[in-house]
Amino acid sequence: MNELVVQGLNKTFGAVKVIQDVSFKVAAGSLTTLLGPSGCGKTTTLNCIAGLESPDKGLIRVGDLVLNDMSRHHNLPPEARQLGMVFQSYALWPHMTVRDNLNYGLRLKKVKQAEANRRIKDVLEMVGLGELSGRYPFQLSGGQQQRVALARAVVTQPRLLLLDEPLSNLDAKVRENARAWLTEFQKRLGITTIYVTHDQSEALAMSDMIAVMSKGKLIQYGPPGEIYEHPTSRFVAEFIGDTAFLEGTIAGQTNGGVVVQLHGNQSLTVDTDQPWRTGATATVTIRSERVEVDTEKRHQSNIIEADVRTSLYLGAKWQHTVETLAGEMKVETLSAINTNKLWLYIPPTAMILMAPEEARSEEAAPSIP
Amino acid sequence: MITQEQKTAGPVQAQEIKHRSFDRPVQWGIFILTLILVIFPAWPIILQSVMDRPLYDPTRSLTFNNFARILTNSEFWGVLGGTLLYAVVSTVISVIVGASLAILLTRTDMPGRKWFANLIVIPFYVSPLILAFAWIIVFGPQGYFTNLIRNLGLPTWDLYSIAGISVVTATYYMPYAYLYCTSSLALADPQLESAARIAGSGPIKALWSVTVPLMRPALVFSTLLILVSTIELLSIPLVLGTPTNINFLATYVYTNGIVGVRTDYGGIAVIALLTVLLVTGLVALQNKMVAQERRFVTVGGKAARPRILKLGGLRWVFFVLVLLYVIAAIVLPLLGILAQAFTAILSPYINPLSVVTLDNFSLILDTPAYSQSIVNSVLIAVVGGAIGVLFMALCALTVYRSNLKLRKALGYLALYPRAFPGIIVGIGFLWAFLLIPGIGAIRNSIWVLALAYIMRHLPLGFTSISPSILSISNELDRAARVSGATWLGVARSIILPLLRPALLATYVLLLITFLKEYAVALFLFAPGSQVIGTTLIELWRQGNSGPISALATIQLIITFLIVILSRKVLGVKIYDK
Ligand SMILES: Nc1ncnc2c1ncn2[C@@H]1O[C@H](COP(=O)(O)OP(=O)(O)OP(=O)(O)O)[C@@H](O)[C@H]1O
Ligand SMILES: [Mg+2]
Repeated sequence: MNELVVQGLNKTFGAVKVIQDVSFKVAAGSLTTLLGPSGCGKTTTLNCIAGLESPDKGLIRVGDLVLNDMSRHHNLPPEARQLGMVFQSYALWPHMTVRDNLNYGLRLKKVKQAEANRRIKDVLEMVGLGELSGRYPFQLSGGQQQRVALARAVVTQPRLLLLDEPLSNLDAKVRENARAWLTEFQKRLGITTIYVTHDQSEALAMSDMIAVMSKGKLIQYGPPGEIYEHPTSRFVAEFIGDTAFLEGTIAGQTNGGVVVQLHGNQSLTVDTDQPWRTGATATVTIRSERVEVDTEKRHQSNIIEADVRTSLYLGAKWQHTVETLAGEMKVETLSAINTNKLWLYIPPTAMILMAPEEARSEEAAPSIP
Repeated sequence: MITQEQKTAGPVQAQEIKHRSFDRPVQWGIFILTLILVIFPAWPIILQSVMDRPLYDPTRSLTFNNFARILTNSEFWGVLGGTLLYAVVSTVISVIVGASLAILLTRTDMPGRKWFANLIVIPFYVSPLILAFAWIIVFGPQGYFTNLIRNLGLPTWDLYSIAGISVVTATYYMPYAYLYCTSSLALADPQLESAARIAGSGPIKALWSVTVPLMRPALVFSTLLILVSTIELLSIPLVLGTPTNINFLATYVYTNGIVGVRTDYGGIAVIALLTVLLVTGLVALQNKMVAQERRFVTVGGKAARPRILKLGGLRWVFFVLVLLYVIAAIVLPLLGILAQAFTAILSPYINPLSVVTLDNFSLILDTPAYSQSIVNSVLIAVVGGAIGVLFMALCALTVYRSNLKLRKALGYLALYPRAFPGIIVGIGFLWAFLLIPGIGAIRNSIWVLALAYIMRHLPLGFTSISPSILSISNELDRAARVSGATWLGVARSIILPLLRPALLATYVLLLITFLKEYAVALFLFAPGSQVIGTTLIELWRQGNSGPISALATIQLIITFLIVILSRKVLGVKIYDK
C-alpha cells in the first residue's frame, strides 16, 4: 500500500532552518493537507517529497519505495520517484497540446502507445475535457488548465499525488466548485495525496488529515474536526477560524469544569477534562460563531457585557467587533442590532482553556509526544 | 499517534531504485570544457610574463624583469595614458549621442523616427575595420568629401588624430548605448511620468526628472561596456592611427607582437596581462554599479504606450540635426566604400561613372587566398556559430537550471572572457599551440579559429540566452522532472524548444559577430585559414583601397542578407531585449 511516511525531515537554506524535524504519516488513499501561513515551509516540504529539493536530514518513504534516507545519503532524483504533481502555476508545457502534455510522462515510462492513448482518453474524460485534447494550453481557461494539470499528474498512475495550492489561481466561484470536484476525483482514484494550501476553509473542507505548520515546524496533526474543535495551541486556534483569547485565573472547580475569573470582575464556567489548579492563570479560547448575542440578558450565567465598536454587513450575517472588559472579540448576528451595549452568552462547551505557555504563540511545542 | 507510526515506518525492507543518468557527467563536462576554454589562452600569457625567453625556447627561466622593464618604460605609460584618453572621449560621445537619440526616437514626435531607428543601428552590423576604411575613403586626408571641402577653400580636419579616431569609434559604439537606453525607456512604466504630470510638472520636466533618471542603469551599463570595448578595439586605431604613429594598448600589442623584428615576448605578455587586469577591474566595476542601480529598475509589467512629447517647432530642428548625423556618420561612409569598390579611382575630380569597373571584385574572387577567406569566414560563422549557441545554451542551462555545486562558478567563468581583448585571446591561443607538442596538425585549420571565437564570445551568447531561460518558469522543468524526465531530457524536450526564439536570435547575433571578428584571428590564422578580416588587413598593408572596398562590400552584403533573411523568414529580432 502506498502510505507516505515522512520522518525527521530537516532542511536549511544557508543559515535559515526552513523545515525542522517534521514527521507525519499519510494513510494510503487519503488526503492530507499541509496548512500554514505564507513562508512556513509547505512548498519546501512538498518539494523534498518530490525530490526537487534535497533535505539535510530525514527519511521519506512511499509504500515500500524509499525516496530519501539522508542517513544513508540516499536521495532519488525526482524522475525516479513515480509521483504526480500539480503546480501552483499548473506548469503546462506551452509548446505541447493537452494530449502531448499527458503523453509526455507515459512515453518516459515506456507505456505502449495504444495503452497510453486509452489512458489519456480515460483521464481526460474523467476531468471532463475529452474534446479538448488537441488544444494548446493558452487556448484553455484557468479552470480547464487546472484540470489538465491534474490529469497530467495522475495519468501515469503515480504512487503519490502532490498538489501545491492548485486552486489559488482560480476565481472564488470556480474555486468552490473545484474544491468539491477535486475531493471527489481524489476519492474515486483512491490515490494518496498531499495538498498544500494556506486557505483554512479549503483544508477543512477537503482533508482527511490536516498538518498545521508554522515556521518550519509541524504544530498540530489531526483530522479537520479535531483541529477545529480542539486546537492545542493559540497559533492553531488563531489560524483557523475567528477566535478570541481572554486572559483569566482559575477561581474554582465545578462538575466537569472550572470557573475562570476574567478581568473586569466577570467570570465564565468552562467545561474541560483537564485538571486545572485553582489560582492558575489560563487563556480562554472562544470561537466567534459559538458566541450568542443576548440583547435582553436572558441567560443568567456565562454572560459578559460588551460595547459594540464596529458592525460589518456580510450578506448572510452581521459581524461585530465588540469590546469587553476582558478584551476585544468578534461576534456574529443574523440581523442588524441597534444598541451599543450587548450581552454575550458563551456556552461552557464552546471554550477551550489553554495554559499561558501553550497559548503564548506558535512557538508552542507540537502535540507529538 | 505519530510515535506508533514511526515505529512501523522504521526498518521496513524497503525497495530502492538505483538510479543512473547522464545528467551529472554532462554538467561536469560543460563545466570542465568552459574552464579549459577560459584557461587555455590565459596560462601561456601568465607563464610568458615571468619568463626571460620565448616559451618555445627550452632554456627559458623565471624572471620578474619583464614587469620591471615595462613598468619603467615611459613609452608604455604614454600609450596607456593615450588609450584612456581615447577611451573616455569615445565613450562620452557615443553615450551622449546614443541616449539623446533614444529619447528623440522613442519619446518625441520628431518626424521620420521609424526610418532613423533603422538607420542608426547600422554600425552595429558593420565591422569596425570596414567602418574605418569607409571613413578614410570619405573623410580621410585624401577623402572624397575632404577634397570637396578643400576645393571650396574651407578648413579641413585631420582624421588621423586622437579626436578623429575617437569620433569614428564613437560612431561604431553609439548603437550599443542607443539600444540599451531604448529598451530601458520601453520598460519604464509610463504611469511614473503621468504621476509627475499630475504632481504638477510640465511634459519636458517630467521627462527630464523622471524618465531620464530611470535610464541611469542603462547609461551606467553602456558607458562601462563601451569603455571596455574601446580599450580592446584594435581596428579603428590601427587603421587611422598608424599613419601618424598614434599607439593605443591594443595596437601596441599588435604591432610589437607581430611586426616587430625582435619580438619582446615577455614584454608583450606583461602588457597583455596588465590590459586584462585593467579590463577586469572595469568589468567588476560595471557589475557592482549595475547591482547598485537596481533601485532604478521599474517593473513595468504591461507594455503600456509611452507618453509622446510634443516638440512643436523644434521637431524640425531635431530632424535636421539627426538627418545630418545619419548622413555624415553612416550613409556617406558606406556609400563611399560602395563607390570605391565599383570604381577604379574615386575622386571628386573624376566622374565616377567613367571609371566604373568590376576589377576590384575579380581581384578578390580570382585570388584563391582572398576568396578562400570569404569561404572560411562564412564556414566559421555558420558552423562555429551553431556549435557555439548549443554550447552557450547548455552552459546557461547548467548555471540557471541545475543543482551542480559549482554552477555559480560556472556563471562567472562563462562571463570572464569579457576581460580578454580579442587580440590577446589570439596571442594566448597561438602561444598555447606553440607549447603543446604534436598539435601542429590542427594548427592551420579554421576550427582553431572557431574555437577561439567561441571562447571570446561566450559572454555574449551567455548573456543573450540567459534572460530567456530565466523567464521560463522553473515549474515547467519541475513538472517534467516529476513526470519522469532526466535533467537532459527536460533540456531537450521542454526548455530548448521553448528557447527556440532566443536561440535563433543568439545564433544570428553570433553569425554577425563571427563574420565581423578579425582581432582574434590576426595572430592565429595561418596560410589556408585566413578570414575576411585578416585579408582586409593584409590588403590595407599593401595600400589597395579598391580591393579592400570590394571585400568589405562582400562582407556587408553577406551580413545584411543574414539580417534581412533572419528578420523576414525567421522573425528574429536580435536586440529586442
Ligand atoms: N531557494 C531558497 N533559498 C533560500 N530560502 C528559501 C528558498 N526557498 C524557500 N526559502 C525560504 O524558505 C521558507 C519556506 O518557503 P516555502 O516556499 O516552503 O513556503 P510556503 O509555506 O510554501 O509559503 P507560501 O504559502 O508563500 O507558498 C521561506 O521563508 C522562504 O523564504
Ligand atoms: Mg508555497
